[in-house]
Amino acid sequence: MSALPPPLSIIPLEPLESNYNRPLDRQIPLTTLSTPYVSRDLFELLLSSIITQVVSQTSPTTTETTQSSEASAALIEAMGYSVGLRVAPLLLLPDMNDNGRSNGEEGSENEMGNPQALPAPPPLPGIDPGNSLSIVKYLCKDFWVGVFGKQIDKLQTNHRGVFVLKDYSFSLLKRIPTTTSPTSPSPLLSDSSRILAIRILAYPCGLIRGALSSFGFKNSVVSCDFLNDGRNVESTSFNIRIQS
Amino acid sequence: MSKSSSSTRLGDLAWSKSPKTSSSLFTLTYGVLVQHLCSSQTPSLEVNASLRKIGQNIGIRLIDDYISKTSLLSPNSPQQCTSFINTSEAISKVGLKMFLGITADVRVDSENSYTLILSSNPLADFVELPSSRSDLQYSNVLAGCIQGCLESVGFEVEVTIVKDTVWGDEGVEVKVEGKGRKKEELEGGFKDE
Repeated sequence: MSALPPPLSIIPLEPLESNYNRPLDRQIPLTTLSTPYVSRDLFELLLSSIITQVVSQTSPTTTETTQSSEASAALIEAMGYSVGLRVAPLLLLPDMNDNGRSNGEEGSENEMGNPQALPAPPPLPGIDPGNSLSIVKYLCKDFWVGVFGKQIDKLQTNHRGVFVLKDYSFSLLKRIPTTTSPTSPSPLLSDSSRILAIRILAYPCGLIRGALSSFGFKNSVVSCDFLNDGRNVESTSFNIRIQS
Repeated sequence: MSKSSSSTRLGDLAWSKSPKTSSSLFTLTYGVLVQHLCSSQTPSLEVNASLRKIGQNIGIRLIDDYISKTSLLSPNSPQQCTSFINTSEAISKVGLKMFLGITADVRVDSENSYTLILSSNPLADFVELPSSRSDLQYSNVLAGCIQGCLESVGFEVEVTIVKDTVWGDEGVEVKVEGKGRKKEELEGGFKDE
């Protein structure tokens, strides 16, 4: 049996900052989005299609080597980085992260965000840009809610740049096939599910790293672990190390 | 008339019940996928084919979601589309609404084809195509998705993107042509003895 890939030690690929900073030919106000939200199920389907695509490209044969599974995880992480870099500042703005009232939608279904849309909100509510703890707290709250619909369940830090974010029911892992075994009371992950889960988790690791980078913390290492706390398989923890 | 408003109501109801995420996240994720395909498969033709295949895979899984959610929300009125043209209603008012939060208008072109007209493209917000990639079918995943959904319920179709905002047009037009019902294929082994 091939060894599982080691915990994600991320190889940062080049961020596309040169394109990002290029001024657009016309100014586009943020409120001209086609739609403020899409269904999260659709997003998860898109993500799993991306993973399938990347895997089929990096391992064209059926035998998977450690190298190719690392390569696919690194590629997925890089994609997450690219998206996180751009989406983190957007989710700060309340009109991108509220219940749709500022876009005139009726009958606002309030699954996430602030209960009231403020008329002229400050762009950085309660965030101290240089303070890593403040930024990580934003990640745990507004950012996680905007992306996954809930907050991080537990945040721990050693106040020296290491943070552990625990999510006890991580939504991207909810549909992974699990097996039950007679020796263990709670559902387990089979080996192939574990490999799939590691690939899926590469994306939010990249999102976190990109989000941190957008706030100026460019040298961070983000990895993740399964909590295996016996409750369910979707408990995961994301470990951040910020080098200052 | 009543049929169309009931579809709209169903669409709105399904949308209000579905968990949502930021559309910018979705648009950016899709953009990153297209970028990755463009960098690894240089000819636009191959990228278009990959996007369509990805769309078909999404469509096959999406139709199950659609059927289960709509039958849950309206157990009394049957949701099965009785004709090909009825599928346009289901897609434009219910399907697009519950997954993308937008609706589309329908222009019936003939007995076997219609065009969905979207006023904006959620896949392509703030996307600009470089001039080297002007033949890229950026929204092919949408075409593939519609194709996958319709094929899963038994219609053979050909779906093409006629207009797209990334090409500078005002909105998106998706042409759906029906090519008849799928022939049911029985598993091998059933023979008249």
